[in-house]
Amino acid sequence: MDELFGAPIEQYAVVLGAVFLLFTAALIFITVRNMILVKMALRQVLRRPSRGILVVVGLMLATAIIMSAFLTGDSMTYSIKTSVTDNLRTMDELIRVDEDSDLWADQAVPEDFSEEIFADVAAALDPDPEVDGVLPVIADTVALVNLGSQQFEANALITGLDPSRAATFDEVFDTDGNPVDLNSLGPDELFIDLEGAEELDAEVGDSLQLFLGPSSFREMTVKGVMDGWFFKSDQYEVVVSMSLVRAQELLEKEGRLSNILVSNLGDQESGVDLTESVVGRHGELPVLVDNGLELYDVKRAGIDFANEWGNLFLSFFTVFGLFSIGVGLLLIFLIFSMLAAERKSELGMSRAIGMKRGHLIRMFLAEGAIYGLGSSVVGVVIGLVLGYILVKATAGAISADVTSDFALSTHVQLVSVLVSFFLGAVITLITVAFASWRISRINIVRAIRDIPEPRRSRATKKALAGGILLIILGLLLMFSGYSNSNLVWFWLGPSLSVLGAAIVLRFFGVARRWALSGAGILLVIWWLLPPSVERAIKDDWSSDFTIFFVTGTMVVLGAVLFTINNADFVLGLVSRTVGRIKGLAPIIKSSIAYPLRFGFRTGISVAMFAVVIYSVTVMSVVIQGFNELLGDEDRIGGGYQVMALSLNDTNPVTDLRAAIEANPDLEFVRRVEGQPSVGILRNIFEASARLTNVPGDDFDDTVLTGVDDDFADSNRYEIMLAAPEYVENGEVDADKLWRDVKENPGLAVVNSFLVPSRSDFQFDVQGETFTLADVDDLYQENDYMDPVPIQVRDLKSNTTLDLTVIGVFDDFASQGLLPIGVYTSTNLFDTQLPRDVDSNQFFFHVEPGTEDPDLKIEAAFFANGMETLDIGEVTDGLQSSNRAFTNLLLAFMSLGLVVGIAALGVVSARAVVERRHQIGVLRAIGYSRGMVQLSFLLESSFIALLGIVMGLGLGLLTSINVVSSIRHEEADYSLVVPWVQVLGIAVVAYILSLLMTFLPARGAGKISPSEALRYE
Amino acid sequence: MQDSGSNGNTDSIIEASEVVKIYDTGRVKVNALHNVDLKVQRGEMVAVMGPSGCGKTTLLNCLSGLDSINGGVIKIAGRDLAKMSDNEKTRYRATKMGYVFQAFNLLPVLTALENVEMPLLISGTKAREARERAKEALGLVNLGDWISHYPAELSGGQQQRVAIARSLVNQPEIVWGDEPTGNLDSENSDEIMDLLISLNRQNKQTFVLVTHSEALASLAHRTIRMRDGRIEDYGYGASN
Repeated sequence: MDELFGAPIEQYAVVLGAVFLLFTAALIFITVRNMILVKMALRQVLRRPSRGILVVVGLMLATAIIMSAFLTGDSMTYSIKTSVTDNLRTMDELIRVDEDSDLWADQAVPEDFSEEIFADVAAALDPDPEVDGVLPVIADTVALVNLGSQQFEANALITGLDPSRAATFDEVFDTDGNPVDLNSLGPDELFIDLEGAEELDAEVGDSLQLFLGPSSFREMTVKGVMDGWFFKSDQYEVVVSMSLVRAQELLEKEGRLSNILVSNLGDQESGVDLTESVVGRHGELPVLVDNGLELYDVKRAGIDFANEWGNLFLSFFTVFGLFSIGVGLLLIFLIFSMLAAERKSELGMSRAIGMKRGHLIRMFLAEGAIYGLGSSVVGVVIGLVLGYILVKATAGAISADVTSDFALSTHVQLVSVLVSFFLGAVITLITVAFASWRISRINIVRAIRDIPEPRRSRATKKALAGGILLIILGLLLMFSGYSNSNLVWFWLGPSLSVLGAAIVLRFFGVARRWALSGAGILLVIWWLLPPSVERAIKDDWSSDFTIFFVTGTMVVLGAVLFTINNADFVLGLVSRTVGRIKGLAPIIKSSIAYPLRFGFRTGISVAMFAVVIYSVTVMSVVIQGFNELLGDEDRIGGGYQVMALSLNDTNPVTDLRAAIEANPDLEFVRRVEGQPSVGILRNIFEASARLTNVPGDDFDDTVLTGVDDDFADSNRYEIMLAAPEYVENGEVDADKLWRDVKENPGLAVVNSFLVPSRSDFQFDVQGETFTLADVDDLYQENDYMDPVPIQVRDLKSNTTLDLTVIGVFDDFASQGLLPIGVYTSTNLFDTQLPRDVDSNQFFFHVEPGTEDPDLKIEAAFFANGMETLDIGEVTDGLQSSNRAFTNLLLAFMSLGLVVGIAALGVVSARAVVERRHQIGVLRAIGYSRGMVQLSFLLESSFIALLGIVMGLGLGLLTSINVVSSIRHEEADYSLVVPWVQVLGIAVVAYILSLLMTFLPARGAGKISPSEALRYE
Repeated sequence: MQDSGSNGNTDSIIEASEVVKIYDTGRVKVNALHNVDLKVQRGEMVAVMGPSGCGKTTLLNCLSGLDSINGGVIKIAGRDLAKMSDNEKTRYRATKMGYVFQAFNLLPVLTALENVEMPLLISGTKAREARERAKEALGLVNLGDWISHYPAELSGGQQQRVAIARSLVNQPEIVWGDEPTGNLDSENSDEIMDLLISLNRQNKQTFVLVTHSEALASLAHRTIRMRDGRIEDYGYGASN
């Protein structure tokens, strides 16, 4: 992981570190100049340790969320990196056929190259002090079976290596601890790697049968089990090794090499540091360039990939943590505003005896720094724990996906810890600085007498200027958003103008209540307008995840402004309802009167709850909708029950249907018109493509797939976008489209991943592969597409096909079963490609009630290296993996509730101190202990419930819009509210908030009335 | 020193004998009340005077059951406070006592009317009735036009009148006043004093007022003088 939102992590560390040091320097300066201020700050911190702890807990949450996001990113990077380095071991680069070499412009790209080249390569690389090994290799895929255990593997890697160089290239030992010596092998002996031996249940002396081609078998004996390997890639579970000559002979590739492996000086981790200089020196060697070869920095590429995924996870969790981080900052602000309110008369006195505003700011800053530093340290520690839990849960979610065998392990870099700490400390200090500035503006007399600040009847001239500025800024943002089709800007602009207008109206004497509640209600209505309104304004809006964050913030702001400014109405409503219950009336009255009277802090506390419940509600509904869709096996599996891959080109499947007919064990394969119903695909993985009508567009990697007539007729995959002739009343006629693909060679369909979306809600790692992104105005959201001419090149035969894309699969078709690329009729291959392309992917229809059809098919075709997947299991796995991952995401987002709950704790604890005297009065006029206690609990309940109800209501209304917006593209998407989950979170949040306020409330009940009355 | 009850009236609503109150601050123990004896008759208005720190407020808090005592017995209307549970004392306060404090001690988040109706609601009066009675009480203290104002929107004198209305709305047997005119200017002080006297005379309620004001004390039936936690003078010679 090396980037966050496009900027290098190190840069964050440097900039934040510098800001942090500046703050620290300023604090040291304050300390030296005003020892007394720092002493006062320190005493304030130590005065009430229990509340100090609460403050630290409140302050640390933003840091903890940031740290946990970093840890997940680091873990993802580390795990992929480890998997890369573990797989490649000491190999850092490899020489391979360069598919992009001009040499192959007019001829097929070969799979291997002449062994004669090796002498020149070795002559150049061997003397290089930064290179410590060069090893020629031949490798290919075979199927093999352990004749003893009857365990088989369809895709095993057979590698032949030069024995004299292998020993110096890497130290590979057998399980007895002896060095693996390829020279010691007899003609029919081989070494097998440990993982492979376990897979096949193989031991030394076992006989393995290798399937080297149609009716070509070779029995070989296991000479030893290697605790490691010279060459392996993560797609192979079994690797067998022998001498180069023997392997060339077996594979009938005498004198040929598939790769030359290069190891840099250093071990498997450090060698890659020299890659840049090694590739720089030897990348353009004439022997490579002249022979159409390249020195590929395989390990560096793997590590870059790891970093990209790490960055993705970091951004993902940071973005989803935005609500919580925002709420955490609100809490910091609230805490310091309350600390100041608590000491209002002290501060007034301090000002009266000569302290300047600057002194107050410095004193609070010093106190804030003590809390801020302490809480950032605690936040980092808590974040590490949270992150650890998050990674463990993510690992669980990943393992539920049967198409993935990736193992995620926990890791954290020092730079991530530093950035989290600096970020936490700096945002805390900035918030504290702002709060301190606000505090310093007290009126001395009012502060000493602890009189509430009077409410202005109208806004000041300064505020008027701010209001006008806000209106102008809002309008500019709206116009800019409209012209750039930026939905967030367009929607945000009028919102700012409305807030500005409210301030202007206040200046002209409009009552606060009317101005602010009017603005609030307008905000709520504006942001909850149905999506049809935005489509009516313009139909090519683009947006990303920020729309969710901004919508949540604005609707909650609107609702809070409205509620707090109509406090008396709320009070009246509650009094007239619950307040009628005898005995509860006075408690209800005081417990609602207080929060409504302290509008600012109540508003912030309510907003904290509302915004988190809002985000969790919306996410739950959206996720639930997608989960329902994931249950649709036809959309993921095309209506088939078993998918099989046979990537073994030494013994390909030639006539599958005939083989099924001939095998009585395969009667369960459904027959249509007397023929076994199997969709057969011929995937060309070595292919590239370009847009015909975009001048200068280069060929980029892709997969070209030929679908046979059976697949075209029988697949039930959905088409999301198609040429106009296939669209009727907004519905795509997929049957008609496939019929045309079948009957008119040259027509093609592509995956949705190749077509851009207007909404950038997907988090994907983009490689340099072929897409239709450069086609004007082609988006997934369009109602139809104009046919797109493309050129696709089969690299093996160097043949270019002219195709026309007329349709796009929907997203669900690419959930792991279909390759990402271009699909055309297999008939085209037969007529236009000069070579035979093996059938390598098969979709079976199976009679209902068949047990383990996937295993039976795999067993029948294992000699062809066929590996099968039960599509039902894949769908289940996808669903449970998706559910696990989204639950994790919801749990992460719910962390913000901890902030809200902590806020209530702080507010309650503060209220008890602040109202000590008033508690005395209440006790004097007849409030019992229980009534005081209940009054405080009800007060917290009121805030929590208001926030929860507000968040739920606004969240559900937004969900209706989101669902309607998704339905516009995805007709099957439905509004399903996971009530148990949503209400469960709300109830838990409410109970926890009650528990949090229980202690302060109990403390309030215990206050002795005479004691309380004694202190003014 | 014993309060002999020498006026011969045996209808005592407050009876305190040998009351001891010690404040334990952890480092030092302060004897705030030394064996104080006191009787107050039903309907009597008693002023308690003395220098700052002599124990006036402590005596008031102990007599009214707001604070506990370390020795002696306090009986209110014949009931021993020590034998009442916290809840019983609270209920007693809510129904039989009213308080007026120097700092008014109104709840800032409630309007004048809501402040006054609060004791009624606590004692279980129905909301509509509580509202009517609170309005009456505020009318009685000439604040009928200010019922919807919050304390911060009222002058000191008005706030104290709200506090008085609150203390009387329940028609308590005893009204405790801790420096009720202490925070007021002379004009407002006079107004409040007149109000207290007329209420005492009209309603025959017992008033115990801690005060520094000789003027207020002169209007009481008798003035008790305290020094160093002891009663020096029971004031029987001064009035009645």
